[in-house]
Amino acid sequence: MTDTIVALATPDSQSALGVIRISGKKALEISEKACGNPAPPPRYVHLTKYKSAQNETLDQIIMVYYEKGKSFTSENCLELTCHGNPVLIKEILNDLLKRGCRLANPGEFTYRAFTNGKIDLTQAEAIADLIGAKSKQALMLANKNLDGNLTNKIRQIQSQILVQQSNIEAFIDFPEDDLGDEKNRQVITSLCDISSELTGLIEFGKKINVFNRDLKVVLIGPPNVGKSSIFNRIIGMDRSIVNHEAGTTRDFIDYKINLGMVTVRLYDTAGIRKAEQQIEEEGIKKTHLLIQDADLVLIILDRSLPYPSGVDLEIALDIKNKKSILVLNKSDLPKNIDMSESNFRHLRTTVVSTNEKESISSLTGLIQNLLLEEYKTENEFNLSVNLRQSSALLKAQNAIQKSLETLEVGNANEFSVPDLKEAISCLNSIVDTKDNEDMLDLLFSSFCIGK
Amino acid sequence: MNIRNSKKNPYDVVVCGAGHAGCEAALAAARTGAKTLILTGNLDTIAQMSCNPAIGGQAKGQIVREIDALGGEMALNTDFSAIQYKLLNTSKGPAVQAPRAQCDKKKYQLRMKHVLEQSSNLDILQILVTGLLVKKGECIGVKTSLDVNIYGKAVIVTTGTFLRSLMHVGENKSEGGRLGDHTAKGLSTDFQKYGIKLGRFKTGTPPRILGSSIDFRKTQKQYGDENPVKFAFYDTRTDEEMFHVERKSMFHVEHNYEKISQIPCELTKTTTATANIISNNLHKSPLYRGNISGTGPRYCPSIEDKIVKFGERDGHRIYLEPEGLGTDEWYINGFSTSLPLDIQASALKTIPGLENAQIIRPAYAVEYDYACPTQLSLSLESKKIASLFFAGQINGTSGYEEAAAQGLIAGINASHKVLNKPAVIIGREIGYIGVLIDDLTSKGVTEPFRMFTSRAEFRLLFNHGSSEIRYLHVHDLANLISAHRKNKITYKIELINKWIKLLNNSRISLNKTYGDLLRSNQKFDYPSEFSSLSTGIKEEVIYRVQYEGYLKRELQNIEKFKHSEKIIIPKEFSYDGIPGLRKESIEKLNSIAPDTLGHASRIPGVNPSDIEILMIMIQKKSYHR
Ligand SMILES: Nc1nc2c(ncn2[C@@H]2O[C@H](COP(=O)(O)OP(=O)(O)OP(=O)(O)O)[C@@H](O)[C@H]2O)c(=O)[nH]1
Ligand SMILES: [Mg+2]
Repeated sequence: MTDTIVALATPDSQSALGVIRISGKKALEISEKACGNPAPPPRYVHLTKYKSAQNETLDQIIMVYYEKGKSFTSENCLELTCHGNPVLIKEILNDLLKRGCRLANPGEFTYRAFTNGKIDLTQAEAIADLIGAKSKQALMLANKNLDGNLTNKIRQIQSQILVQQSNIEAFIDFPEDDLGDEKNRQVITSLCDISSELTGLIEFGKKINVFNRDLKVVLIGPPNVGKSSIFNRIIGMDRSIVNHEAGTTRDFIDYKINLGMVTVRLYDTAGIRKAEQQIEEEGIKKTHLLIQDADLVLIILDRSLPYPSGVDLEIALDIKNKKSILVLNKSDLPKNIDMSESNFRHLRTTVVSTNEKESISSLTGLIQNLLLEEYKTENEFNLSVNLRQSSALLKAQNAIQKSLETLEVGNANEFSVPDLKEAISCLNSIVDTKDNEDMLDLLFSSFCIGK
Repeated sequence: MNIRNSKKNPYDVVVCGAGHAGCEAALAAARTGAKTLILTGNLDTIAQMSCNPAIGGQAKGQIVREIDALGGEMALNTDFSAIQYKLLNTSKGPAVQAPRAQCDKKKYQLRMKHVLEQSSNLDILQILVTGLLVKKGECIGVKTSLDVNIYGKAVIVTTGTFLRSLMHVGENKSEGGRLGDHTAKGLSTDFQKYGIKLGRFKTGTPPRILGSSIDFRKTQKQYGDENPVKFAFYDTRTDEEMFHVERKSMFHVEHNYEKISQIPCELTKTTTATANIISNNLHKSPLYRGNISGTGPRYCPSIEDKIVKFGERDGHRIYLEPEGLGTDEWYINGFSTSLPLDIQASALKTIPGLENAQIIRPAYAVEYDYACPTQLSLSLESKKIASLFFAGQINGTSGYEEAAAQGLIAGINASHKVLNKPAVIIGREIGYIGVLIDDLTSKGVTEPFRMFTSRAEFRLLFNHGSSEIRYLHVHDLANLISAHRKNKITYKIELINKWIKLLNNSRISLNKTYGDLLRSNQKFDYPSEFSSLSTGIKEEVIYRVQYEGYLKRELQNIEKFKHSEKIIIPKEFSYDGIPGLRKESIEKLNSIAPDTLGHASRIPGVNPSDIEILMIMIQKKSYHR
């Protein structure tokens, strides 16, 4: 890793500023030759001109130099903040390539930070998560791991396993010392505890997965009840066509919004009724598919009309085992609906009018609460577990279970040790592996360029 | 005997010291064809068991069997002088079961002395070694106390605890490596002169008492095993190879190795009164007065240590072990101390059965120089002075077995060097001897080094019964066993493999093989042909089949391990400035200069991620996609 890498760290489009990152041996040479600063004091802001190899001024820039050992990558680094014009940035990048730099691969800066021992694997992943976080909660979790919380937890579990391993070793290597059955039981109990701690982490990983993906919320209901109107109100703009004629929405429309801690993809769908046209039937089929995939279903009914018998059974079948809310719309009009015969009468119900802002914001509040129902306050989480980490945890847990089986039989305890060692090494792969190239390639290529 | 003391006609190999390491070294050198001389300060203490009269025990028992597989003498010598056998860890699997034997101390010595005397290619001389003869960085012989220089093309130092040794009994200090013996002073100075780093360790031994003063009604008898597991392998040997001394000499084959009459040891415990006496007199223990600077072994603590560190508990176990058939001297295992003689005596009297104990040999602590073993290559040759080899306690180890194993390897390699044959390096995937030498040379020692099974990452494959199988290939290089025995071992291996296949493939019921039943702990009858095989073969086959899954995994791990052993670190490789390597690691790597990546990985303070970085750097696998 002696070559110097360079990349644009900001989006490649017209903007106020653009940041170019440089890491490697040539950083100081570039500071001298292109930025006219042969010995920049580190971590200071330098206002200077960027001059090309042909000695023409390309831009007025801000340059910051980070010295080896203390920079993000642990190599000499430069950050050039120039004006955010793609043409200009291309010129500067080309000039840097001419000066012997090479364009960085996705995630290569972080990769260097990792191989140079600046960060461990969970921290590298936390950086990727910080960039790609889908919600405030995901951001917070990523920050906890960046602090090393997961690493600390893993190290702690590893040392607990090690203690039990050394107890077993003592039984083996000091047979004269008469270490009794009772001690053996203690080892078994401790390993059981460790195993359940791992299970806890794995379960936890599944749980917080909710913060790292888009949650699907689907609006359904008979035609003309105001689904599209509600959709537009929630997303805060007129995206879906609203019309007084029934059957306005034919295909579904979706839109991504942030609702507090989670990211929601909201779907407006075609009204459900006996189809009169081919196209509309297609739309209804799609609605059924969406419902199957949904994290939350909002059933919208028009409160000002009598209960629309005939459609609800079908929907009721679909929403079994789904989180759902019954929304009675058009509360500004006189009530005509009678829910007493409805299959939905036991659902959580809210009354709204698209003409009343208040009622819509309480609806979004309700959506959030329901999506996060099983996840308590943000304080509960002080680390994050992703899928890769989770599968390593599972392997470790299986190994511990296997060692427990050996210990329970109790006639050849030495065979429990390889499994404990395996567990420790599985846990290690979460934090610190440098020889699994395939995994690392996969991991770092999911980063964006310039990070 | 014509001792060769001329430069022009040197010995091939000169061995300094005739303890457990020295004897094996001299025999191995002589047996592999080197003209060998062994020097000892005292002919009467050849192969002396300075501490307890027992060979084997956890991990050590396995080493002795490996020594036998390599053609060493210790196993036979133990079997011919054993007075009690015990297999340890029988409640666990075969891999960690270990044979142990109480020996007749004098008989052990005398037989070993006689083996040396009878050996062709081997001269013996009682003389004190006082220094080294070094020419152009190469050792060419030794200086002696009788003002003669003795020349050898290779020299093996096996001086045990005799370097600048100082014995402590209370405040009394005297020079000497063992009670009643001398000390070697000049050697330490010479080692330092040539840049060999020395360290200081201490060890201790308990008092010996008269058996007739023990009240056996208050102690608990510890009997040996009814069917003892012997140390040597007999089914592959001819009579000639078993009784090589006995045949030729005064040792008649009167010692029936098949059935010995075993005599019991005795068990008792320390009491509150013992603890009180010791606590009240700690200030008289040189250990606690800071008079002994060396580091002692943690796992074999003195009684002072035990009382201070572990308290009184429910008493500390004390084993009483007879030192032989022709003597009434008893060894008090678990009571090593450096307290003054009168305190030793009064503390002993507080132990049930020892109320009237009569000490006939006082306990003492000894501190001594050792030469840091990281200065040795894997052949046990010094990296500082060519043709100089080190083996045994001088390398910072403890234990007769560890010493003998090193002696054997140093003996073979000194001889091979002189005879221009390749060095014999035992990998740590082969057995405990490999682990021992690799640990010593890569990790060094911070306290007297004792082997444990847990030091061996592949110990599941190191069951004592498989030693001959594991070491057979070494004899392609080192010719220490007869062609007859080699053939027998080869045949044994074939037989074992055949039966592993048979048990795994032949069905006992419709859908179950013998292997299936064995692995699910079910009862069944073996084929009669199998039952008629020798116990050793049967045990090996059953072990391999029963734990097949685990053992396969170990074999896979060995493959991985071998891979990193194959990655050679170039001699000129520089650790400085490698990004990500910690300062501490760089210092360690620079000072030990490991040969392979595997070797580097075992240096303490160098952690796995350092190794991964090195792997990348050595293989120049820079980041590219
Ligand atoms: N009074 C009143 N009218 C509403 C309310 N919400 C929607 N409407 C009206 O109801 C009619 C239908 O609204 P849409 O949003 O198009 O209904 P939809 O459910 O999407 O209808 P389809 O797409 O045809 O299934 C429009 O004329 C809206 O203006 C409300 O809260 N109060
Ligand atoms: Mg609509």
